[in-house]
Amino acid sequence: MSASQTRAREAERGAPRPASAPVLEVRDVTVDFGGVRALSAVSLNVPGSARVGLVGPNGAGKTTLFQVISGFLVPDKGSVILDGRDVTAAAPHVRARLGLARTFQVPERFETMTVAEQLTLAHRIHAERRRMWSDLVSLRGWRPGSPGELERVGEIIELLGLQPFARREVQGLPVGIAKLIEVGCALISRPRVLLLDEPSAGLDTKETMEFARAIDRAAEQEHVAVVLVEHDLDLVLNMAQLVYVLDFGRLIAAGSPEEIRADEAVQAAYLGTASVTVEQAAQ
Amino acid sequence: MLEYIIAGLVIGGIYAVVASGLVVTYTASGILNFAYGALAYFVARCYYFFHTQQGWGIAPAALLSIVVIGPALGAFLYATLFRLLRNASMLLQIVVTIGLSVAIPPISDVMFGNPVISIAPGLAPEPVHVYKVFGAAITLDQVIVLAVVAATLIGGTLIFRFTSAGLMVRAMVDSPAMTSLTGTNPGTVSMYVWVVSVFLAGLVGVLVAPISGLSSEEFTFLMTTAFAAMIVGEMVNFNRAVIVAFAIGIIDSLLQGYLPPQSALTADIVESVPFAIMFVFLLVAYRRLATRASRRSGGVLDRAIAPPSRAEVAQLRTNVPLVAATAMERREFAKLVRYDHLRAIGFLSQLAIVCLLPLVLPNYWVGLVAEGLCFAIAFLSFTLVTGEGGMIWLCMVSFTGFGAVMTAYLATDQGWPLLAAVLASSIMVVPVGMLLSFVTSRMGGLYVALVTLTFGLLLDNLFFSRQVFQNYGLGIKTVVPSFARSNTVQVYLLVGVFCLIALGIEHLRRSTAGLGLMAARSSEVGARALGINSVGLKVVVAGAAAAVAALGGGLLAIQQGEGNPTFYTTVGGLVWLALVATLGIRLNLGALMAGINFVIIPALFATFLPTRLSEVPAFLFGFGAIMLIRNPDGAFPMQGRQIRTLLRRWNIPRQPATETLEHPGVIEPGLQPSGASPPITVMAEAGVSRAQVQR
Repeated sequence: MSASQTRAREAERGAPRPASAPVLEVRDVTVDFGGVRALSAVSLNVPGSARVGLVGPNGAGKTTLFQVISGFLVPDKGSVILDGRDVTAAAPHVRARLGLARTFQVPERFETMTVAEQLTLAHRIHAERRRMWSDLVSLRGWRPGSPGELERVGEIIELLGLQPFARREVQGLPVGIAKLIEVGCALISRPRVLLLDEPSAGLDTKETMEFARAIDRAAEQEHVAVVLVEHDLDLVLNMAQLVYVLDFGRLIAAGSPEEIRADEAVQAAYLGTASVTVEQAAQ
Repeated sequence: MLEYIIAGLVIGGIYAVVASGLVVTYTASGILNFAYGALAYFVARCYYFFHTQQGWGIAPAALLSIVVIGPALGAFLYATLFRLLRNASMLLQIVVTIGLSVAIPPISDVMFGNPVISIAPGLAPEPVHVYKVFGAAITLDQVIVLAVVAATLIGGTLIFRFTSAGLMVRAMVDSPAMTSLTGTNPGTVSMYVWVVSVFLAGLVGVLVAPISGLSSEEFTFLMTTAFAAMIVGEMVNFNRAVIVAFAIGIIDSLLQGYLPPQSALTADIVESVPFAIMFVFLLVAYRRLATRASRRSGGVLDRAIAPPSRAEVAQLRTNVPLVAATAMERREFAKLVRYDHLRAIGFLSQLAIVCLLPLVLPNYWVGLVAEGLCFAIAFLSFTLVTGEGGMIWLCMVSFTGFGAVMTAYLATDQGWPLLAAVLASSIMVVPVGMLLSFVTSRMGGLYVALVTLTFGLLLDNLFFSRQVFQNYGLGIKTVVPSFARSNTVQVYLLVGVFCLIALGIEHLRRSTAGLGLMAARSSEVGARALGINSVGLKVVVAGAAAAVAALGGGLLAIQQGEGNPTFYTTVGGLVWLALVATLGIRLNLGALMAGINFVIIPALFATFLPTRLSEVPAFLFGFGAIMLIRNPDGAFPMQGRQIRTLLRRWNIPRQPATETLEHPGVIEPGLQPSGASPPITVMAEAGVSRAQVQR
């Protein structure tokens, strides 16, 4: 089955439509790098509090799409809609304020800070930005955080299972924990959408599994939509409710994990193009 | 004209060899060697000892000192120090090599005696033969220098380009880990680089001694000139650094020839040339440097504790089951627990001892305690700018000197009230500190250190050397105000001032801005990604630190009875940083005890021990900084850890403290929902080893 057929099928059936309206939409995004078309007319929908996977082999355009969504790249054509607002040209920090949080492939470590300190800082930057300067001329820094702050930070620590590390400095902690801390910093601002860039990079199977479980819990409790950009197909198929598959800059499939598993174009993209060429030859 | 150019080529060639040595060791080992000048001095001093003091011939003396002792010293220092520094934090690398440069001259004085050296012979036999080339005179010493410079630069380039040894070093620059995978032992390669580097340093030392004189100050100045060339070469550009070094030499030489030789200004201008060139370059290249800020800049002493120790890995295996949290416990997790009683007890107990000193000590010693407290106040500027702000500034001494000199000038020459003079000079430096921080903080750690170092040297040459402040080396006298005539009163007043500033720093630490700075110290990039205005925070901290430094200087001027710029040379200030870092740059207690020890220890030696040991305190300060390699946080934090361990062993209930300080047994990856806790040994170990590899 060719990509156009897949798209046709998708249009006919419509993307699986959960009750809530899409919180993030990408409409016909096209990106050219010089003469190379990195993305051609890619569209996707992220329903509220759904887990959406974006997969594809290396060079499929995943990272480009990720940059377009998070605002580091402005597409040549098409638009990005966040919560009903067109943010195609908005800078990353503007999108962040509108509720788009992201993590990085390699987490930045604040080695000498404890987990609680990091989360508190992230919380204050979001909720009490003025304290960065106003603390210098008041005595608030000497008092414990507000009950709201303590509760929120504690909640995130518990949600991600970081209790044993709460008071520990980050240095020496495993990568998996560092990634969770980064997710915590992103979640603490109660974003609408959480973008995860290659969360399995640098993790072993067991760590990946545990990370996935924590994200599941987070998505449920925090009602946040999670967009997972990954090359590890198995992880995405296990975690996501809705999966988009990119190859050579085009969307070749979209659907539930079961549908994706059965999709021949996806198999071809991941296992080689032999089956497609045979098919094409037959035609 | 030709003579000046030849002289310029000679001295420029020496700068070029120094700069190339610094560039190669920096690129190959990631360490900028602040002890280069001291190592060159040591070997040159060896040569002088054997050749002049012991009467050996040129060849055996040169062979032994340059070919045997120099490389052996390089190998020894690699094995004991530089090897361990590779993955250490920028601050640790700088402080340890500065400590080495502080400790080496006293060692050589003890080993070789301390005679007055007016003229040091070079490698040419005396009397030095003079040739005539196109009517210009050129000495055999100069010929030898030119030959060595040409051989080193050309030979070095050829080796780097075309031999497998050069290839190995270039591979090391990119990745030691990858190099080791090709079957090369990166350790061996590094060792050779250091051996060659110290060999060249020694050679340069022997060559330059007849030209610039054999003193550790001159050698340090030689090194800082090479730093300027290195900065213009953006730390790693070998060719550009060499060309700039030659240019500096020739410009210097021409200026010396054509400016009026009697004027004091001539010498100042000549000495400022390298730094002026550097500043022009920084202005031109600022944007590029700022955008490409080094990733290694962030984590101060922090990253120093590189891979987790074996004990820590063992701790990671301990498996403590999770318990479901109640709302109360949840809030407990979120508490910031960095501030415990032990720190306060440590500080207050030492402060109490200082307060008791005037009651038990004779008056002379009480005066020294007061002087030490003035230094302690000035040292708090390091606690602020480096400890909290994460900026490695090597020019704090200039701010202190400015405070001292300006206070004396305003009070004595201009007739201002004394306190107004102190406050005014503290306020004057605030915009300077803020500007310096704003300009440097986007360029990354090493640039910050080097730019501030050159800024300090520039002030030495152009500002503090003015006759109005120098007053023939006497400085400007001050008069102690009538209410503080007694040393005891001075001590208590100064303790009050110190406590106020210390409280201010503690206030900063506990504020959200303090949290933000902590984040920026660990990861500048990460802090910005979180949305922290790290530059803004640093600018504010730097302004405050400059004011504190100047305040300390003003108080020193009053306490000592004079504002004398010769007490505040930039090179001397490096000892200050080394001492504060040795005791604990993140603690107010560290600054307090550094200030008092800085005055008391030399006084103890001078009073109770023979004069030939008078250099020992300087050695001790340097050696202390070197020992930071074992305890990167400094002496007091280490003691804190030991006391905590003891308390835990005796099971005395205590305030919770940050857990890394104590290596707790509660490490469990903890992704499992409460209750279920399968063995996680493997994962924790795997995680740690990966973390190591990442570094």
